[in-house]
Amino acid sequence: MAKKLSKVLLYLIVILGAITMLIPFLWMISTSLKTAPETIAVPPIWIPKSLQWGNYIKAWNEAPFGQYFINSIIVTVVTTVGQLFTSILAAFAFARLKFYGKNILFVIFLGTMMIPGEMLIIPNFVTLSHLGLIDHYGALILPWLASFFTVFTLRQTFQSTPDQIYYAAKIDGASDWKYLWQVLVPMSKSTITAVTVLQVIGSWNAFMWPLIVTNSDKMRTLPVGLQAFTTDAGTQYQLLMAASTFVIIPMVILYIFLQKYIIAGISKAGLKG
Amino acid sequence: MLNEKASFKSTAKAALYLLPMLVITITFNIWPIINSFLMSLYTKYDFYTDKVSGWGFDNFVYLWNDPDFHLAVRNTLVFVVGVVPITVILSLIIALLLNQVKFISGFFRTVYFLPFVTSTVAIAMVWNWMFHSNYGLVNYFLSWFGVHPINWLTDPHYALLALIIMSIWKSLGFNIILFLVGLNNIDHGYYEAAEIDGANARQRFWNITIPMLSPITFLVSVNGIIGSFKVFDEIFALFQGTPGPGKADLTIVYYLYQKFYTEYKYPIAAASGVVLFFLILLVTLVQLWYSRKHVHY
Amino acid sequence: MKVTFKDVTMSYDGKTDTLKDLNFTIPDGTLVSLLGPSGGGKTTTLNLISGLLAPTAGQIFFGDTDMTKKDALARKVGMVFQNYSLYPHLSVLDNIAFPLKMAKVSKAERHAKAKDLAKLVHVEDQLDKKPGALSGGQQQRVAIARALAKSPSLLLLDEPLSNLDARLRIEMREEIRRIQRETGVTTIFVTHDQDEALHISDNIMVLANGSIQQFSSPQTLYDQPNNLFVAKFIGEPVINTIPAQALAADLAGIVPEDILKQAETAGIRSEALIPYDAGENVLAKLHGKITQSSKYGREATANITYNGEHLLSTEMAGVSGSQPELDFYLTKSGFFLFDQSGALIFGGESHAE
Repeated sequence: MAKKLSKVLLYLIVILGAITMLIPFLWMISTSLKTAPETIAVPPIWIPKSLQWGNYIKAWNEAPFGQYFINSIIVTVVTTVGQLFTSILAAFAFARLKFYGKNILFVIFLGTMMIPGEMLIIPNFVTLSHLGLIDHYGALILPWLASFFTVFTLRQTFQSTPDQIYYAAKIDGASDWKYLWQVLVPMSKSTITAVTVLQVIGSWNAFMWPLIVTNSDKMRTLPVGLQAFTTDAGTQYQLLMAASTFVIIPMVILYIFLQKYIIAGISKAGLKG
Repeated sequence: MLNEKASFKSTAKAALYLLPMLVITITFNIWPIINSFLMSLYTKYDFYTDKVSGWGFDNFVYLWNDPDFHLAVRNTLVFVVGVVPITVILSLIIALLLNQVKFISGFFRTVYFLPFVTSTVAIAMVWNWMFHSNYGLVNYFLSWFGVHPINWLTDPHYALLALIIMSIWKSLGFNIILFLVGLNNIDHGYYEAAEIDGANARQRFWNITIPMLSPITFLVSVNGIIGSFKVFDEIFALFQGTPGPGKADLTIVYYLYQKFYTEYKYPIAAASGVVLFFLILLVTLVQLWYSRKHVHY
Repeated sequence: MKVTFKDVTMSYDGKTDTLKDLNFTIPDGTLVSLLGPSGGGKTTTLNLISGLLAPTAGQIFFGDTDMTKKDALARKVGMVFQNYSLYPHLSVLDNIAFPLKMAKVSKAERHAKAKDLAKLVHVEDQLDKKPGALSGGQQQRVAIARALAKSPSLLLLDEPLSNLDARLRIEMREEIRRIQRETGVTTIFVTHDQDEALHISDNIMVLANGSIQQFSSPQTLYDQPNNLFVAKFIGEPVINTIPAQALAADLAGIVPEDILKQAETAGIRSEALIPYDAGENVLAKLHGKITQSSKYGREATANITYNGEHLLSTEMAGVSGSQPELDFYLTKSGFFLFDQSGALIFGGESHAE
């Protein structure tokens, strides 16, 4: 009996917690489908009388969200692919190749992981403005084309693939380059997917850097554009919430489909500390 | 061949593999690290010509005397103390509960983790709306308990608390996942052995689960502290581009942003970055020292 | 392809030599086993042949070409690893075809060749599966097919059967023998299992402590071990070894005196102790006591006490129990004397005449 009761209690708490976690999302969606008067009704209305899908169209048209979306997609894709490429090459060098200064270099990079990225904003801004790249894709993308964190994660995975597979590939006539791309990378698919997804989420949601290096609608990414939109929308919360929803939705969909990899990636990344 | 030692040739080859990554990291990581330390010592600097005509510790003296910076450090520390312990304890409890749940546990996990994948800015808009003093959900729920409406975002007494509440909500999922991984990694043999030795459920929890989770708890705490030191996006979005009412949510990174982006005082901003670096370094050193001594791996 | 090692020395750390001054020639078209205890240098030798490792000193020839400085790719060897080392992300067909892909053979051609090889090793019905879906034996067959794909100059197998269960091991070693005969490729086979080596090889190289203990046919290895190590290492049950002193009285006049004087250890194979006088082949008559005898399956063993030493015989079936004290006979074949350094000084065909 006591056992059953504690089980009920357990589920009750877990469900209550889950609802708490979900409320902001539910409230966002609910508000995004209301009329203006409904948003300020007391007590609050959860399900609007008629769903105002038009709010989405209105919000979309009130700011250049199309452009923001394109920018976000470009920045996310190029950053992720580029970073993956540079990291795979470097991780392979650290995992398999022999070269002078390998350990020193590795320790230096580990050290840089301790530096707060916020500290680098100023010098990077100066560099990029002298290159004339502020308010360009260049500024949004270039600094993120390498990540030692990704290198570190991939290196661990590469090192954990059996040596014998490497020997077998050598015997089979594969050069290091071919071994890397035709054997090691496909074999490390799950780690690569995990770091890719984490990177996509990071790029998509990045705020401070894009805020600093963009100043025109042409270049703004979604979060920065959304932030700018608040000034225009004022107190039209139904529009603000509609806009928030379509900023959030792509990553939620990605998350639901690739959940397994994200969690694996976090376990890997988080636990090395 | 496998037993070959590093040679000039093999180094040249490795350099080619490392080159793309090196070019980027040197330009945008290594050099800026050095540069920001240098910049914090510029006393006369012309951004347009990139000319430095004076060096010294004036910027640090400025920070030392700037009440805004004091406030930023204070707020940051309050934020850290407000967020980290509660997040760690809550996520540990939820992870322990989730670990017991069999039925649709995947669904719960998804829900708890959802905030991690959402844009901070977008969800901060939602919280901004939920914290609305007249029509916000938070005050509505509080009214059930007879609490009078609170001006969460306009009253300096509550503005930091509002930020803390939202940050806890946002960071729970990540830590829950780590704790769940930690719980999964505990060898079942320990529990069986303890059960044979006559330990009851409570004893097993305190003598096995908690000690075995100590490395993860420690890691989660350190990650949390370092992450919280850098809080910015949440503030900017929650308070619509201001550091809160009466600078109630001015943190170190926000201070850096203001000095740099709105006041163009690059060297002072750089100096505040250096202070942030040393604060984080301190945490890291404490982490190293402590984990050598106490954490049982 | 003939393989020759000339004064090859190999040291991993620059201090201790894993292999010391190795000299040998493996004739073209034969199947040779490298046999020895673990840590004896078998795998190192194999890796030196494959080109995965470079020797510290000495030269390696394929045919008459010096290959010492050439890498694995240039040597064109095929290799099968203990844990198969198949590419987990590729299908069986693509695994077999991988070396051909690396050699830029066209897709149609390499698939045709891979299918032929799959037939040779009997995995033609598994082509679309991933290695993870195959049994150990099947994986090993695929690994062999892959190693053969580029028509290698040499086929190298590194403990290929040790991950398989006993029954499969016997089946696969016959398969390897068959495939080697069908293809005629010079094959070098590393194993620590003497049974495997004895059954499969044309010649066996016994490696221990970084040097060759003996390199000869399986029969010679058994009948004429070069030294005490080989005598003890080869043969099941393990050869009886007793101080030569214990036999001195019974062998006086039969074995030349100077040899008997030098002899330190006597080695007696269990089948060299027989209960009847076999005439020509008998070396000496001994007297002892049966302390215990047992029989399982087709094997019968008897423990004999002789001059205070224990001997094991596998030829005493039926003489047990009733007559614990008995005379028995020591045959010429299967009896060896070794000197202090362990070298053979008496026994084996050359001396037994």
